[in-house]
Amino acid sequence: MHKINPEKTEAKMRQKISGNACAMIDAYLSLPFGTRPNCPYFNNRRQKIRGSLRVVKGKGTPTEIAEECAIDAKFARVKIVDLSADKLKEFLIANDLGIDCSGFAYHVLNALCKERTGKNVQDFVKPLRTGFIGGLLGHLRPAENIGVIAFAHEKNSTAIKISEAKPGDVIVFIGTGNDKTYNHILVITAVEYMDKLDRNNDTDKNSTCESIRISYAHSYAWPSDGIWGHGVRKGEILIHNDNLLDATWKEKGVTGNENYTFESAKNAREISIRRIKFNYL
Amino acid sequence: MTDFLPSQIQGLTDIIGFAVIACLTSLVVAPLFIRLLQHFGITRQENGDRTLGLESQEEKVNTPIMGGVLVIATIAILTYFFNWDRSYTWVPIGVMLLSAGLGAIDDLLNIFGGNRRQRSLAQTKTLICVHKNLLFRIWLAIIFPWTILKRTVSIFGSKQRKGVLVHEKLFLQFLAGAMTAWWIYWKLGENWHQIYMPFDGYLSIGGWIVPLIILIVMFTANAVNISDGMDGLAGGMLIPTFGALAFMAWISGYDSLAILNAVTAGALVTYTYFNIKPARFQMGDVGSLGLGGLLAINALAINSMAILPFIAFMFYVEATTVVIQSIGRHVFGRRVFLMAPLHHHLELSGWSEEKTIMRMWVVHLGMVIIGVWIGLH
Repeated sequence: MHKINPEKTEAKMRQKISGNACAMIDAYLSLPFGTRPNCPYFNNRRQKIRGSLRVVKGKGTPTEIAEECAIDAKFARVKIVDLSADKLKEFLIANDLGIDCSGFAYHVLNALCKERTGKNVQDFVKPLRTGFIGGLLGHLRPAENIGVIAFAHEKNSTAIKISEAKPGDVIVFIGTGNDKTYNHILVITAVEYMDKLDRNNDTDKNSTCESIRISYAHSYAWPSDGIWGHGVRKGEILIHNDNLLDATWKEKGVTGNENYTFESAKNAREISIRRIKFNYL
Repeated sequence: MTDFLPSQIQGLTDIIGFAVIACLTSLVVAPLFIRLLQHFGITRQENGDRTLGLESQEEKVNTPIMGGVLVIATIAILTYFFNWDRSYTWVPIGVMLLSAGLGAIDDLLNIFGGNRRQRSLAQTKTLICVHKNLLFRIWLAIIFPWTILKRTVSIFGSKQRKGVLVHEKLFLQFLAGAMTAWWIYWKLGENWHQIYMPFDGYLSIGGWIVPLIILIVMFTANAVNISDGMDGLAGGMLIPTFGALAFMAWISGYDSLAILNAVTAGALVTYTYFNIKPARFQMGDVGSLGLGGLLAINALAINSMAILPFIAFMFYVEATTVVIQSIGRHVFGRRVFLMAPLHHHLELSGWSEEKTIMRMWVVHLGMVIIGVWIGLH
């Protein structure tokens, strides 16, 4: 059973991801144009790649997605300002614009890394491509070449205990989905050490143990989302012990087996909390 | 009155006279020519051309294309009958016709041709391994380096299903450039082995001038081709460019080249008259590639390579934006411009087509004047 260190300071009771990274997440949650739609999920294994712009491969920043949407709207004779947030999201999806899980993690962690170290995240996370051409492409196009596997690789990050988790760490699922070939990544945005009193408002109010609440953000599609409901969103995990799968996962107000993120975590061959190198600084 | 004028001024009256004749000749033929283009269905097709998705471009579908034939034919015929000079005009006309021929094939294939099939490298490799015909497998293996080249250069072109493919275009343009280099370096004499640099005399780069000439011809032909994307844009900018070349050739004492440039400018006046929005016809690749090649060779023939960036300013800017966009897209995965070339970027930024064209005309004219001023030193 995990116990909170009694020497934890007040500041450590609730840690939150830094301002720039938080702003990046908020920009994906409500894209910076029109009626500020939520950024859709981009399935990079299902969608055809239209071109070599990273924004059409599910790796664009919120600004790039907004610019690309504006261009597509001109060609489609659509006035963005006339569309509701839902309609705008449908337009984004119809034009294959969105963000995949590793693209989202890359840009959020890049914002965090820049703020903390003044460097880009690719200075700490190396793409796994080898050879001269592969290495060069990885260097020139880091967002496209740093995927979940690269984030989870030993040379880029290290597995940590749940009790050590802090904002900027990531939770990776390796080998999930029905065919065990999908990978997924969540970015931890806040960690809260809860005492018994706090937990009275929580879902697991009958438990008496002390615990940690991890808030995360990610880009994902649940089967129940249908065609238009997927995208970037937040969730939280209420940790009771050292096993993430024993925790209570809550997202979109859904817990338990109805929560597809939790289902994916359970299906994964490997699930771990990892700390990217820069997050040690 | 001309009897009292110095001989060089009399040459100028001939030059202007030829420009007027070219203008009037093409003006008489143009209405009939437009009808012929419509009659034979030589009109702009959608063909997956993304630029036609723009609001201002939508109305251009079914506009007669290959209007550049009018200009090319006027130049070729008038030069052949009244200005045929084996020293100076036949090679420029040859280069122009070669480039125009390439453009004509492209235009016709775009309208009447079927989809061109392009195998990917992966497909080719698979066929080399599994095709039932051994000879075909060997053939594919032999031409595999060529296939790699084709796929590599196709990156720099827009996605195309019809017409002449990028590597074929580049090959024929290389031929036109090589023809120009051969003529200038080996036929025109030693004066052309050095580049005239205004304010500074001559610059010698030895044999490197040959690939430089080839590059200039290819780049200029493509630059004019790229700029031909809005009604009146390329035509309106080519008039002062060829006018400046006529003036520079006249000042330098190359009367036959001055007349050739003046005839081109004259024919372009008529072309632009009919091409102004809403266009009665469009230049097509036949005109833009042909005139681009002619522009490059005529500037090189009067040893004005150094002022080409000024007198072809907006064409080079347009082509450069395409190169920058291509590098940004393929190397860094990001857009630099909303759309390339520059005129589409400005249009997407909210400028109307008329505003874009006229501002580009004005900027180009200003740079041409500066170029002439520099060239006179």
